[in-house]
Amino acid sequence: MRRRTRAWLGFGASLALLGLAFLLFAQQDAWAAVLARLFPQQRTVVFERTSLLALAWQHVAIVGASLGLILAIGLPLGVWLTRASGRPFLALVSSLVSAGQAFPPVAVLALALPFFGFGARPTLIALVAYGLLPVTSNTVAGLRAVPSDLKEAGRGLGMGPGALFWRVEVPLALRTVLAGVRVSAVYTLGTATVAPIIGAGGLGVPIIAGLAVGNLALVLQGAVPVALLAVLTDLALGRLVALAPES
Amino acid sequence: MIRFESVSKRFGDVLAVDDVTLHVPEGELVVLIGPSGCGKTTCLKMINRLVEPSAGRVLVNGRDVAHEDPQALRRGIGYVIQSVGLFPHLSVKQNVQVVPSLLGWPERESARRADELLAAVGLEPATYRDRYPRELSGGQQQRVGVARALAVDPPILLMDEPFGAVDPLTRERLQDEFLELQQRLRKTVVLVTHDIREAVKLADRVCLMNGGRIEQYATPEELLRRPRNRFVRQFVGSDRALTRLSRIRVSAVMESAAALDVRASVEAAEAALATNVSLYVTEDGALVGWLMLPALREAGSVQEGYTPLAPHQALTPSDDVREALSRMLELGVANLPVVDRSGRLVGQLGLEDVVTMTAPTEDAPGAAGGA
Repeated sequence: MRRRTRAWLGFGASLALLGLAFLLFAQQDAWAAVLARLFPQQRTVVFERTSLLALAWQHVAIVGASLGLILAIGLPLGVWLTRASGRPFLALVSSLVSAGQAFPPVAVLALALPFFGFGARPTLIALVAYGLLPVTSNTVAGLRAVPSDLKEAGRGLGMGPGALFWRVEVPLALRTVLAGVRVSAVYTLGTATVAPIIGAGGLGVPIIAGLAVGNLALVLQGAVPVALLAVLTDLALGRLVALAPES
Repeated sequence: MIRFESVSKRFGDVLAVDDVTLHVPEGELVVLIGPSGCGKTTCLKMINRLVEPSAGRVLVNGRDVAHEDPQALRRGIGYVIQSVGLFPHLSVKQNVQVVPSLLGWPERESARRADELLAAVGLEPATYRDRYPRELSGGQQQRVGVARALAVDPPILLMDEPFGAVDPLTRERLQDEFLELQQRLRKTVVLVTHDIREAVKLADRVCLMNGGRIEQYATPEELLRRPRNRFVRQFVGSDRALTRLSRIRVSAVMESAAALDVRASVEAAEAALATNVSLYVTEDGALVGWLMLPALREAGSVQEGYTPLAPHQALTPSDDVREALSRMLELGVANLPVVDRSGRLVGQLGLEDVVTMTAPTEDAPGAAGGA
């Protein structure tokens, strides 16, 4: 299928671009040179305590861990809400998950601080609370959109609940589920810039530092790479969505 | 083979199936028919336990299905539904392989079987096996559905409006092909439809249902000839005599046709026309036209006197008599020649033969439905 080949190529290309982005982050001196040209009056134009590459890796680690938790919670939750046992809780859980997203991450950080202290743990909690909605709701929507005729056809051919789930429901819901993952991933990449407020690292570090001292060069040093990562991740996951079977 | 014993099914307050007792003999094609909501589909689904009866038993091969493992039971019963039943994310081949793969067949064997079945339902495997359902026409999807149901060669086939989602022309062709396949395979088939013509065409027996009960369970001939009550009479329609004709093939009622070779002499033609009003004219056995005495006299030879006949005006032995009758009315003639596939004259069908064959139905002309 040509469409699939194209999607695979697109996915591979966007992964390659992500790799190139990290090569770019490694060019600390080049960033300094460009930012110095843009902001000649600033004495410090790059964050000096940690290299940009290290900050980017921290950022990816925070986002990766959050996203892992989001998937580990959101996918099973979405599946459960479409099973007989979970269906009664659909409305309740949906509003809880929406509330998680309605809460600004900064507020969640502030609230989590007294319980979990500084560091990575409250950051993960805030990011997971914030990013859970798209994955859960898309999982529910995707599974619910599988035509009941098809499910009955599967049962009529002798599929048990497991076979029906993996062979019919998952492939047909995959596109919608992946679309939710894509949204969550991009959200989380952007939102993770608040992490330094409570002592976690990442690309938010120069942004927060820059904001504190009114140094736009530092803000850009953090914001541009975050935007780049978000755009490229969106691109890669978009190609992955295109690979899922059409329903 | 399949037996319903006082089966009822209640959905909430609605009694969908009301005390149905029915026997489907082995190797027969039984059609469940009736208006929407008559319980026919519910009955069908109780055979493979997609629906569980509220009362009574359904037996398959003498065993109560309620005691069977539903998955194992269903894998042993072919199931065909309207074209929506194909999985859009699976290729044609993978759709056909669903049940073999559930049963753990080796890939190579199930792939070979899939090819075999695609060929059997008239889809060239090399062309179609890697296509996806959305790339197929409705008729082709339906063929794949039949192939999928036959994948593990189940003795029983359940078909829920299998030809419902295609245009009338395709439907007729699919019905013909399915009948041919069924004559070879001799499966025990239960088919649900709401189309009486489809029922009459396909069924060994028709089970006409209404309001969850069986109104009449009989052969199509019996149903059309002796409707048991007013509902049946209304359902089969006032044109039921014509509907009956659709079950009869021209080959069963045609008679031999008087024919003359195109190279015959005028004398021989005159002699033959002394006993027949008209003659069919053939050339080496193939039908080319027909001849009457005045035309022969005027032209002076058979060669120039006969009226040519277009091939589409002739019948074929496999046409049904209803079609034949319609053709006669359309052409305004009381006789039509019958030719085989190569155009050879094999007989003729006369209007009189048709009329004498349709022996009077139970309620005489003038009674309801007799018009």
